[in-house]
Amino acid sequence: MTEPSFVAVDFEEVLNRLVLYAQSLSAAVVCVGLQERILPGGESAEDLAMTTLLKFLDPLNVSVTWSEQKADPTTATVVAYLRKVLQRDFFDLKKSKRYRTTVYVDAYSDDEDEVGTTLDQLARTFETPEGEAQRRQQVEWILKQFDSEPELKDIVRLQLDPKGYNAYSNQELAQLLNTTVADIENQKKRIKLRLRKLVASRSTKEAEHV
Amino acid sequence: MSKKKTDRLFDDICNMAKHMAESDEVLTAEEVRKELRETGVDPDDLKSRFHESVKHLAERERLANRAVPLSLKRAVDSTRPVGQLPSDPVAATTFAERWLEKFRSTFALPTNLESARAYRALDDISEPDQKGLDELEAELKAKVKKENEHQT
Repeated sequence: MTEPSFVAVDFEEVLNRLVLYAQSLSAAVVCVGLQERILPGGESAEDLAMTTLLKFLDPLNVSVTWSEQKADPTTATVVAYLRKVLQRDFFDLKKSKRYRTTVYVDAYSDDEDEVGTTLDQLARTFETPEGEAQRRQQVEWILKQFDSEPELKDIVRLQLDPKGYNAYSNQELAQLLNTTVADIENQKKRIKLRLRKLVASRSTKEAEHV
Repeated sequence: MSKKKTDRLFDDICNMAKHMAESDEVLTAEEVRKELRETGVDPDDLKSRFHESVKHLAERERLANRAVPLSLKRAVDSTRPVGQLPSDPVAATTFAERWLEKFRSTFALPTNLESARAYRALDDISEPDQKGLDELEAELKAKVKKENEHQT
């Protein structure tokens, strides 16, 4: 068996795209009701993406490899494969003991001593009245972050509708908000960027506090 | 705790993340770098840290008299700082081509490009755009300040 050729893979681009995906996962966790706090020793989106890619490249680590039976890898296929690995590692990390000590539900206060809820605890209350109340509170907090941009806030409200995230197509959103699909697409990009910034700034702030 | 509930929660998170990441797939490499910068990640610093890590892995393999896999070689070569050309001629050519490609992609114009006047001086700009411009200005100033601090 010959070793696959990696000539069509731009590893810098793979890494950058994995960081974006890790940021999306962190933002999604915030949207379901958890606020992240990454303390020293915790993993930021960059750390997680880098660890995933290094695992793939380290010949001593055989847990993440490109099967020789597969076609020669490209940037896109390696990103698609490693996104799955990163997702799995992301959830393992969130369930780990280390993460339990570094993550709190703290969407509504800056109280450093507040006792938090882990992803496991959140799952326990998921789909219960208590969980629903917590989720509503979190949605309110997220909406508050869009106070200065009401045109985005309307879309966020509909996107985080209890019927499920992204329950509406862009066309439906355009009809509901009396605007064009192009506008909706543009505003969705701004929302995504805003959520990622929000997660990144909270993480940095918390790390600086400690 | 029921495994089903955890799975459903994880599915919800994954679906949200996938929807958020959908529009990332059509971004060019340069647009991805721009997106990272906007969220406070310095892609040059990230690349440099990654390069050091893969170089370290390759050195470890060489010291242990083991062959360095193609993927690792490629990762080292494709993330070298601009001033360091690989010694292998084929890798050097690929490296130079990639470097030139970045210049070309940076200047790729969008298909729906339209001309527009800059109204900032006339104070006729929407509040979100004004805020966006102010943020960009602050980021630029902070970056320049940081670079100056490094040099002194």
